[in-house]
Amino acid sequence: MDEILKQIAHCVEFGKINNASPYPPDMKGQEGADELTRKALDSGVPVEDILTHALIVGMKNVGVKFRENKVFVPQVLMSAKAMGAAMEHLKPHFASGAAKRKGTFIIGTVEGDLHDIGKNLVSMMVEGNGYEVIDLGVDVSAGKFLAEAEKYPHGVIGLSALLTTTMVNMEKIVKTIKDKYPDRIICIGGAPVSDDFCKKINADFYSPDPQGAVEFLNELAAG
Amino acid sequence: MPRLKILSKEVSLTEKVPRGAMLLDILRTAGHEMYTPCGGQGTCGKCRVYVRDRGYVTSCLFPVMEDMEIVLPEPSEASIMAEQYAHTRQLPADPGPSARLSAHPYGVAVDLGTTSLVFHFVNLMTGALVETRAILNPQAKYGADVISRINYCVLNPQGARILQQEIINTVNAELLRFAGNAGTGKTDVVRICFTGNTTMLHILLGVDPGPIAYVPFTPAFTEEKILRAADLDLECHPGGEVKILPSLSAYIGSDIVAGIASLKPSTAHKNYLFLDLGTNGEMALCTPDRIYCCSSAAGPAFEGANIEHGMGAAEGAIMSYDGPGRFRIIGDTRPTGICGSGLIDLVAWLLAGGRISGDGYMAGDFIIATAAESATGQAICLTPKDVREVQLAKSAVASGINILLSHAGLSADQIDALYLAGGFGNYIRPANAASIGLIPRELCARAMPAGNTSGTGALLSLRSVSFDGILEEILSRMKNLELSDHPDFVMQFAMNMEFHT
Repeated sequence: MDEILKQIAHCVEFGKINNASPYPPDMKGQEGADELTRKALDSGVPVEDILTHALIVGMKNVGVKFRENKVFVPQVLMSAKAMGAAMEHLKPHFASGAAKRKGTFIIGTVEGDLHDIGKNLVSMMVEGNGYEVIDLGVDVSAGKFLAEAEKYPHGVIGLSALLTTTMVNMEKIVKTIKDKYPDRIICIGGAPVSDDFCKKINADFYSPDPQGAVEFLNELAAG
Repeated sequence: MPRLKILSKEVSLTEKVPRGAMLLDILRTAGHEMYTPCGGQGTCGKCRVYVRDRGYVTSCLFPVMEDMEIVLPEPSEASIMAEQYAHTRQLPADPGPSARLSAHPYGVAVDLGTTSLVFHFVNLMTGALVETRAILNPQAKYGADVISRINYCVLNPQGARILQQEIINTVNAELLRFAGNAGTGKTDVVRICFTGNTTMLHILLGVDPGPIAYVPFTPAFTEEKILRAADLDLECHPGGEVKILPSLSAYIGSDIVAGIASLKPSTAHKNYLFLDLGTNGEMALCTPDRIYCCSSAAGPAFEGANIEHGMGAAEGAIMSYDGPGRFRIIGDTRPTGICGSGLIDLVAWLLAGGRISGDGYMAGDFIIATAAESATGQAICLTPKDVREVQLAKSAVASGINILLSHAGLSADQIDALYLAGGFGNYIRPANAASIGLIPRELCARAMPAGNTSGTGALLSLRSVSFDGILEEILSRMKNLELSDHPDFVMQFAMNMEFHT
């Protein structure tokens, strides 16, 4: 059982989606996260073990390498895709309540802004680390965030912006949510955003990289 | 025998010449130095002179059959013309009715760039280019890129007005300086044509550029605007015509529309690509029926921003790189940093030597010039993070080109020419640009610098009202592709960040 979990973790870390995928070149023709996860479930490996000892391990390794500038966007994206392929097999078990996730994360790119690569990376890293992710997409209004906050009372909210012109909308959205739910945790990220800006607009957490967001959520989940 | 009257700044003479003799030969015989890089073969267009009542003619192809008056270029124009490009469109001088506002009418073509402003002063009687000036955009203190300028306008109640005043003051200072130097009255300037990106044109008119930065990117105007100089308090003839050339969209301004219109590619070039690499990379794929264009946030990496020792193409910049100790510096002083063309060369060299891997990983800083060699007393180096910035910038451009190609249903080898607009295009080495994946490999040998096409477009508009028809025709064929909501863009952008070694 350990062997197959290690293999899945390796596929996630290096972005091997499935047998047919040519990426990465040195794993051509091998089974990917897709086939291996199916196999693991069929042979009775518990869903939580696959999540904890394969997906989370793989995503954490690539997240740390990204933070240390050893890998870049394409590798992280391929890792996220491999993780997504594995997650497809796990989802029915979460939906049925047979397996539990660590929490819920509501994420979106703020009003006026269409940039989604950074938001997608965070979204996929968080999902691969065992959270349910509600991805609201791009150009998301304060009203939409508020409605989702109502629907998921324990959901942590993540706001993304890539432009100096749209980061001002973060302030508006944080205020809208905090006016109604003062205790709701909101984290922010994006190229123009900083820790100082985070404090200024009364958000709770800023991370310059996706792994930081995952670690923050893990701390919250650990209580 | 026809009589020929030759007018130039110093002399005016009339002489009889043999009927049918080539004008170029007559001018040379009369002792006028003529610049003919093509050797009088009629292909380069650099020996043009102005024939009264006929407009510009290419003198090596023009037999003199009757009496005529020739106006020779002023010396300052000659040197600028020598730098002009073979594929620039030529139009007969016809500045329109505003030229009648003065007995000695002048006009100014202004290219409003985010970073610099270029002024072309023109004698509207002859169409002669009298002076060209490039100065820094005074708004630079409010931010380097259009987004930060827009941000200023959004956050400050009088923002757009404040930035407008900065531009107007600078244009006025140039107008007064010109009038002083040329010994003309300020009211002799009777026509001004502006090109620029959509944001700069909004600011010029004091119109809020805010909507340009937000979805769905709808600018307040894109159409041509014609005003009177008094409307903008410009220091010239109050009734003079001020023309703002038309734009296509929020991120395809009149700088690009007029830039494309300023080119007249060889008829052998059916499909060609126009690339203007600045903070925003604008690109257009011109085909016989449609012109597909898009703008992609290339980021200011090639202009030096976000690069540890990056700088613009100014004195002290390493502008080319061929290996340790083998680099060229602008101004041949000690190096202070590296500019876009040098950066492309350097990354291409490091990739070829395996110091940067195909996925963009570089183990540590690479020293370009030691502390002892540099002008700053500090080593000039390339950091692993700089390589990441180059990956982002080159992918934004490469992905934009790919999406244009797929919309046009063309492959890179079906593109006959690549025009590189802007100063960057003069320095860039196409082979290295292809090595790092900025442009398709197939286009290396077909790349050529096109100069400041936006400024040339403004100049053509100033000199000749017939340019309007060309602009209109170009605009009617242009199709704007918005990359940020394009389904293929995100995946393309991410995967094109890799280097293919």
